[in-house]
Amino acid sequence: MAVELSPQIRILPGGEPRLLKGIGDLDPGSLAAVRKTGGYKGLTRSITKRSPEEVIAEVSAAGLRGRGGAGFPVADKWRAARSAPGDRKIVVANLMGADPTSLGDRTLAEGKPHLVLEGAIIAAAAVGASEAILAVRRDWTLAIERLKAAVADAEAANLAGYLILGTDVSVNVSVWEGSGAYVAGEETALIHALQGDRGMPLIRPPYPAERGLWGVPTVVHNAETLAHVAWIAGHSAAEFAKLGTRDAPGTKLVTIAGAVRNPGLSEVALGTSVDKLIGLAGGSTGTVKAAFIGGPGAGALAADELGGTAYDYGALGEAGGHIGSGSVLVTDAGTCMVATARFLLDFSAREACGKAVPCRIGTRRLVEALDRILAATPRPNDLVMLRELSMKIADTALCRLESLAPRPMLTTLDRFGDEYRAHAERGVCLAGSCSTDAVLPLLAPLAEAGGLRAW
Amino acid sequence: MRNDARWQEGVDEAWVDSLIDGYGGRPESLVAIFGAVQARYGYLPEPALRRISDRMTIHWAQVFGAAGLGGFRLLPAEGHLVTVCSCAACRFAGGDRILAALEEELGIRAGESTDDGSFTLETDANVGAGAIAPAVRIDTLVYGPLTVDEARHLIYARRAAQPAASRAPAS
Repeated sequence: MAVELSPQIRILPGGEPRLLKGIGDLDPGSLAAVRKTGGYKGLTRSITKRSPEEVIAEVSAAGLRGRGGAGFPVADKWRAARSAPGDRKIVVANLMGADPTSLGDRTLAEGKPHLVLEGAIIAAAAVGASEAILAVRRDWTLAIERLKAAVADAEAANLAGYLILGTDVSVNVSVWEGSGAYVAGEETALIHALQGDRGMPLIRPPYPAERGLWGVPTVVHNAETLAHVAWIAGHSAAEFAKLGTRDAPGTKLVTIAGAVRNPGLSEVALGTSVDKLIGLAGGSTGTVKAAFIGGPGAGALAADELGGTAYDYGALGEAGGHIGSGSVLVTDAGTCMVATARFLLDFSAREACGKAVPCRIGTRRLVEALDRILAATPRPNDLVMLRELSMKIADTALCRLESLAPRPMLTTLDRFGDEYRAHAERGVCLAGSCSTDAVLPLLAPLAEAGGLRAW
Repeated sequence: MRNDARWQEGVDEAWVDSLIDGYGGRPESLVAIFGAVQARYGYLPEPALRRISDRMTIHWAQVFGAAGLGGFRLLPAEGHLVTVCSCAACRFAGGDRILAALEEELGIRAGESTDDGSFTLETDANVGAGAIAPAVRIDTLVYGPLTVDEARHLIYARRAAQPAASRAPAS
């Protein structure tokens, strides 16, 4: 029986389906079917046979890093929260869909709600938390419905709630609807939003693992990370590390979109080359020019780098990209890099929460400078200013999203600087996609006279 | 376009109060309350937000801030709400051409409503449709991947189903 998922979700064939295995076939509403395929095995083992320290050691041995963007080692977060003083601790699952392009968390919540729930309970038991909150974007109605049903079923089967499976572990799980925003991808902003405050980040430290929701130690993970936790608990650390690289074991849900034949969600081993990811989506519809990797704060990789760059935390970071939300956007030869950078930067500027001045005003200034360049009316130092201001924004950033905001522009400036110069000096779009050619006659003489060549 | 008449429309304060009481008046239930108000009115009317602020004794700035950053509508949407996805995947797939075509077809810019109140056009990055880009959401239905002609056709179909004059703006 095929299970219906939201129409936005397409799961690609191929890859290394671990979390995605059986999704779309396995009925998420049937706890019996879920348990028959190994569901809640990890939870049972974790709370009846192992101490919390052993569970943390297993996750540590697996080398699991957060799949939500920052890639922080999961076991370190848990140790910090476990050793933090206080009786009350909370685990929060982030299902706010911060990056609108990324499909991973939503797909897991709709197709395998029990896996996310199991991971949340294992995490809560490991850090000594008696509450788990699944914070779901409020327009993901199907995900909310299925998670709520999963929680109710699990409670009825004594897999969640009070004294789980006859042990002294109690984890009260609730599903909360949250208002989605890009900044909710930042854990301190999410915590604010959950408290009913305006969703804005805080200076860290203290980290949420010490002082989080209502001031109590809080562990925030995205749904995918928690699903991996459940998988590791149900299998083993050694098995988890069979896929992926030594520094970045395991798999990652990747959304491949843009100029590809068959866009959608896939699960791949970390360390797979970016080229292969594009292959999973049926290849490019034209000639690949660049791939923007990591969501709205993506780093652009040029076509000739894609084959040699491994999709993991280290190699991708060195190349200028980052795993981020797990989205890979492919652009073809007909796409202007300046306009694309402007678009992504504008998203960050519009989604800026407003708390950090360099972000609120700086990103807006960057967009304006790019608009001037696109209109072939740059100020003499605009190209220099783009870099300097970007560095200042990154250096003074309050949150990670802010420090990443200028990255699409910086990485394209490095790789496709000729497109920026052609737009600025001659009003010509080298990709042929911008209609700024009309301003060319006016500005060409000035540019030729050297008036605009100050950079 | 802001329609002052609808902006000032009456809000059932007793209903808002019962809603708040149903959540025990806890500040963390703000989003759920906003969701219920928007489900009833189609947006968050200012009088309702004022009432929430008073009743829950949460400062107006915090109520308005939480609503503003939470992806809620603060202005009424008249008629069919046409949302063109503005996420990166949709843009790369030609979403900007779809938006231009719909702006031309409806004779309004994004963020405005037609004079007869039959359509409101907006953009939002969260139609959540990277795999079916470019996508358009009309009211609650998501369509994609669309060509420019198909997008226009979605408007024709709704015009045919509902004569424009039947939804005159409140005066």
